[in-house]
Amino acid sequence: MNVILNNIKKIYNNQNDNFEAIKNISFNLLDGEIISIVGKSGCGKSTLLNIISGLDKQTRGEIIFDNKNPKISYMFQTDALLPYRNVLDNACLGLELMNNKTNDNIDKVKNMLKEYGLKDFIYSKPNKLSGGMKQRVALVRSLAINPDLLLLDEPFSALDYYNRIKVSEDVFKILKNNKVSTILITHDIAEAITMGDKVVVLSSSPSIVKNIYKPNLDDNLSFIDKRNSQKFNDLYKQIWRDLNEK
Amino acid sequence: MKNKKILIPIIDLLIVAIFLIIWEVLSQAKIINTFIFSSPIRIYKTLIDLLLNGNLLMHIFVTLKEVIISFALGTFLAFIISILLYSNKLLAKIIDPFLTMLNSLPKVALGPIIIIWAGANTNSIILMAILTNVIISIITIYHGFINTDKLKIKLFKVFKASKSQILYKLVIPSNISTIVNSLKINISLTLIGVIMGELLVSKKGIGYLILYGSQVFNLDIVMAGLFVLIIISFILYKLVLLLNKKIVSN
Repeated sequence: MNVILNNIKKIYNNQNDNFEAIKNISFNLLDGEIISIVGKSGCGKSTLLNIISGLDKQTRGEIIFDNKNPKISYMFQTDALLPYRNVLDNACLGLELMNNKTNDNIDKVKNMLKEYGLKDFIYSKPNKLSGGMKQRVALVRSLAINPDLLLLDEPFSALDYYNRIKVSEDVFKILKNNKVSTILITHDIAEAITMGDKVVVLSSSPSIVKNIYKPNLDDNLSFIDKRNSQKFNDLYKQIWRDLNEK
Repeated sequence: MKNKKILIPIIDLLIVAIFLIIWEVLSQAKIINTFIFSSPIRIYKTLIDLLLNGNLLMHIFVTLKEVIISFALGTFLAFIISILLYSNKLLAKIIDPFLTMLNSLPKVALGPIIIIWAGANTNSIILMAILTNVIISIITIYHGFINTDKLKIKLFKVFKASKSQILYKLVIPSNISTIVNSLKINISLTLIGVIMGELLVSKKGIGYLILYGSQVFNLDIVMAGLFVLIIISFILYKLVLLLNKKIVSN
């Protein structure tokens, strides 16, 4: 699904004063593309995702989706799995809430869980899974509804360094294979470059788009090889400079 | 660890046994007045006497019946009211100061009004017990509800969940342990409420037995009543703990 963000502005009106979180953000997301958004803490990245997902309203500007009622999924910093449900029931949550939990869809979810290395844990409770496995269940839950747009809000930040690279690479492959239009928010410049078809750099709050880069790294390379390429290093330095510019 | 598990109840039993022995020795030696303090053997004899007369079981049955009815009604009411408050933020804000006020009010002060409203009968006792247990249960359950993980609520909203889906598929199941924990407080408060009620209006029940004992200056009956009360309270608490364990493990 194509998504166009046009001059998005967000001001929070409090009793005493107004707080401008986002000044002006515009960019386009093409069908099947992954956009990474990087910016300093508190620059309004999560606010932007809340606006795109419909949980919050922008003060000004518009978001144009291809579909009138796009199916949007959200994946958070933590897995947000329900401890009283088994893995399959957690993965089917979105389908259930959208009244679309058919036998066919349950079978699809089971196959996805098997495909993503969770075959032996389908009927286990989440407390039996490792951090990386939990994030994979959260990803299956997000993909199960066959979303038009997937929003990832720092989904790997709770993982250790090794798992962070490994799980992000797994997720990248899954998203590319399924051609899911995705917006990823991250603090990690390396993650933004390795995962994104485009990297949107935001300024400090109230945020504007400072730069949009196209890493153009070979999708077939492993994340470690991507990180060792010259292109990656040059772009990393450039984004680092953007983020530290006043 | 295993040794500790066995050792702690043994130490508990030893403390009780030492306490009873000291009490009995002091009574036999006439260091303490048995007319005022009774003694373990006199309490035992009174209990046997009450049991043989058939009265004790009847009193226990009456108190237990009142406790079970008040406990069930209080828990049910607290659950329903908590759901209503959670579903209606405005109502919750309006009700909140009243809940705080009622919670700090000693319920026994309402006794005379309750007797006038409900009559000098079992209804008054049950009403008194419900008033004693329901407020704190509402506060506990409602606070559990409003502290449900915000991220999970956000997840449900992204999936376009309705308010009732959020309530029944997230808020209530996430708070099962809070609800079950409130039962532990609830059972103790219900017993307090029932005994207060029985002291005020009853002609049957352990509360009445204690009151009767004090009125005829028979401290053996009072102490026997208290002893039975401790046993009932202990068993009920353990039953709720068992229920707690079963629900949480499921």
